[in-house]
Amino acid sequence: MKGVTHYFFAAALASLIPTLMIMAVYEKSFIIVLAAIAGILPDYIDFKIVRFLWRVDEEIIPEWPIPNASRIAEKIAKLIDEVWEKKKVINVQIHTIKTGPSTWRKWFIYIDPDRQRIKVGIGPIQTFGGRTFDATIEEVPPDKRVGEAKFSAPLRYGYKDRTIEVSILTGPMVAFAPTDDHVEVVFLPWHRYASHSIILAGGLSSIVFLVALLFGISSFKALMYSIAFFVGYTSHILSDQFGHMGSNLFWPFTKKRIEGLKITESADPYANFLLFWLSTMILLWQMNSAISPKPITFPWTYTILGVEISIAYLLFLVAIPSIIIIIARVLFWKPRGDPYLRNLLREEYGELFG
Amino acid sequence: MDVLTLVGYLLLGVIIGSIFSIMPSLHIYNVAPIFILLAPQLGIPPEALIMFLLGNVIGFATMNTISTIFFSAPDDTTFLILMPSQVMLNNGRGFEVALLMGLGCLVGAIMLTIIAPSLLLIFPPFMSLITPHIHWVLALFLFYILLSEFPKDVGIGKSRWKRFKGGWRNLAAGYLTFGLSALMGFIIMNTHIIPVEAAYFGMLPAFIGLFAIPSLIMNIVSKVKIPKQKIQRSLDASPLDIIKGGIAGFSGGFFAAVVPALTGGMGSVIAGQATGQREESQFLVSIGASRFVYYVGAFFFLFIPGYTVVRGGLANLAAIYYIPRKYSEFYAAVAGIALGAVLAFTMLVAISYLLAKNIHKIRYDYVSVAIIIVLSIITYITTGIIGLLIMIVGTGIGLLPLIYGSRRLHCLAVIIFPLMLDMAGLSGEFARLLGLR
Repeated sequence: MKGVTHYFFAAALASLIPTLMIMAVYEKSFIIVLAAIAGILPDYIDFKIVRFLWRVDEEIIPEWPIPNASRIAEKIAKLIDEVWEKKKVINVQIHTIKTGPSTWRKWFIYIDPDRQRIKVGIGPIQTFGGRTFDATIEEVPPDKRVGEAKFSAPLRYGYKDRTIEVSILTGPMVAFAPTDDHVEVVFLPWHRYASHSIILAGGLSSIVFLVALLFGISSFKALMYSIAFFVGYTSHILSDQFGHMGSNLFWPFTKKRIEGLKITESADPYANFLLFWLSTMILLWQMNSAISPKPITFPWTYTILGVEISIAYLLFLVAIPSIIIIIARVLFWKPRGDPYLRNLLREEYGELFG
Repeated sequence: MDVLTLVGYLLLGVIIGSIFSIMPSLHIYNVAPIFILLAPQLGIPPEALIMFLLGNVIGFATMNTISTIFFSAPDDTTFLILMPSQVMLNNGRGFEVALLMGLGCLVGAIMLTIIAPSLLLIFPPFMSLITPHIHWVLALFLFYILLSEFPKDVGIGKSRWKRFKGGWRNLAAGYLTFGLSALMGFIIMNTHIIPVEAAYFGMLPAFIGLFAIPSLIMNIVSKVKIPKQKIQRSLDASPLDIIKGGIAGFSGGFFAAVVPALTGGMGSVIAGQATGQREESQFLVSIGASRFVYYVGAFFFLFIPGYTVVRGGLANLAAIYYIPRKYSEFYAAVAGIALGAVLAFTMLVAISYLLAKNIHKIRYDYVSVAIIIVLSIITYITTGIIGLLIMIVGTGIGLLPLIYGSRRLHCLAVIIFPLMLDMAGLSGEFARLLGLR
């Protein structure tokens, strides 16, 4: 899920604990914000700290200003074979091609484990906002636009999309890791490793508890801060598990990411918006419930097992908008991937790329 | 006074407001008080004055985008589009940016008029709901801005420190911008650094310094030359882009209009991220919509009968002269928003067309120098020497994100941070911590 979704989802889950909402309203506490911060923290740790400290063995730096696709493909293929021969992990940092203050020349790597080939394509220039200037592909001579190289090592690529797009800001890191019978491709090896662990969530929550005590906060409130943090942090880890990549849920006891449920993709805007919407609705409901007397009385409200539920709220603000978002996804959602690269790949690989 | 006359006042307000709003960084909130002072002398009744002011705000919300697009002088809601609009202007597409943003304003106006009747029902209880929570809601937005910036570059090189340094360059600059902006805002709001007689213009020097002047300085330093602009006959945006951008912008702008201290730009960033917005055309439409709904919506709340909702500086001032009593005035304002938006959009198209035709003939660096001089004069007239000093400090802070490539959104801490502390009842404690009390 995206940062904004994690952030508001964490706040929404924390708001479900009545004591936390009472503290937020009547003690002017920022406890819900603490939960939201904890909700964004796993990715913050990964993208702003761990990625820089992770070991880099090789770098793919495309020649500037005109990159040569064949040379890049050859280098990657050579690295895969080297991993297989020497039986050692190689972390490869792939770099973007910056062409201006907010423009980059996009390029891609297509990994084909079946035909044991690496294909590299150089694309046109695009802006941060995603606008592509198609004509700029002409700046790259045709013989440098597409390159292919063969590797001999058996390779396993466990992700849905075989194309690694390198477009804006910072390029991705890929690890080639040898096993007994093949070389495994690990996309973003530093991501969702230690930071996305429930054990770490527990450890950090304990630190929050101790720090709160150190600041002279009563043990009950310190416990509440700790709970808010734990709820926020784990909400991130568990919601990420709905995607493909999964997380290393029990680090330091486990070393590998546990595959996700593959229900959605982290970049799926509709799934993100749905969760964001539901989080906002939970927050609004809880914000209303925390004030006495309630500013808004919703019709068709019943108490079931001690919990107040408004059928009108559920129907008009939760169910119907959710259905609309799901229908919109079915109608308008296009699979990830750049149309330019997709067309190029189709031309070269036909039905193989699909 | 009949409805037609009221709408007539509103349209006159749109025309006059639009003319003033072409001036870079001249906020309508700084001009409108003059109209409020002149109105009784001209025999204009309060209900006509309020419609005239609403027209001013409509004109400003739509037309002030021009100074961002063509003169690189944004305010606290349009600074977000500065980068894409500059790129497009340098590609000869300035007129298209104006059209997309104008279209966003129209979409915002349509949505605002559609939901207006329901505001009578939902707005008062919603305000009662949000008020006790406002301190943490503001903090929620503030910390999201702080934490959500991504490193621009991982840095080339195998050394971990080298890469860490490369990645943290813009992040650290962003945090520094945030901290300094927050501190500046807190000092302005919690001390008498700005004289009491200029209190209405209190944040003006900081806003001009943080948002407008840094971009102008960059124009001068980089000796920008604007190419000949193309006059687009069609837009590079699908109806779906416009709808998606419009919905995101409307949600962000409306939320910002309701919640004190949030601005339209900030609201639309969150809404844009929540809806997964990436397309530039969608983004421009969304900022247009958000800006319109934020400014016009906030002022329009004043028309809700029996419930004086005051949002923004101008509404504060206007509320002294006007208390909404009749539903006819409320609905006249709704009709006025629809008509005024069309008029403002037409003016935007005409003036952008003229500017797009001629902008390449103008020495951009000279224009930037001239705008800085005008802004300095405005700051001096309204807030004196101290205002100029605040403007200079603000410029220094505002230059940080431009130099280091971090988010300019951090500058908004200037207003959100002090208000958040105030609403949590922590201002006094923080002031004591800084030695201000």
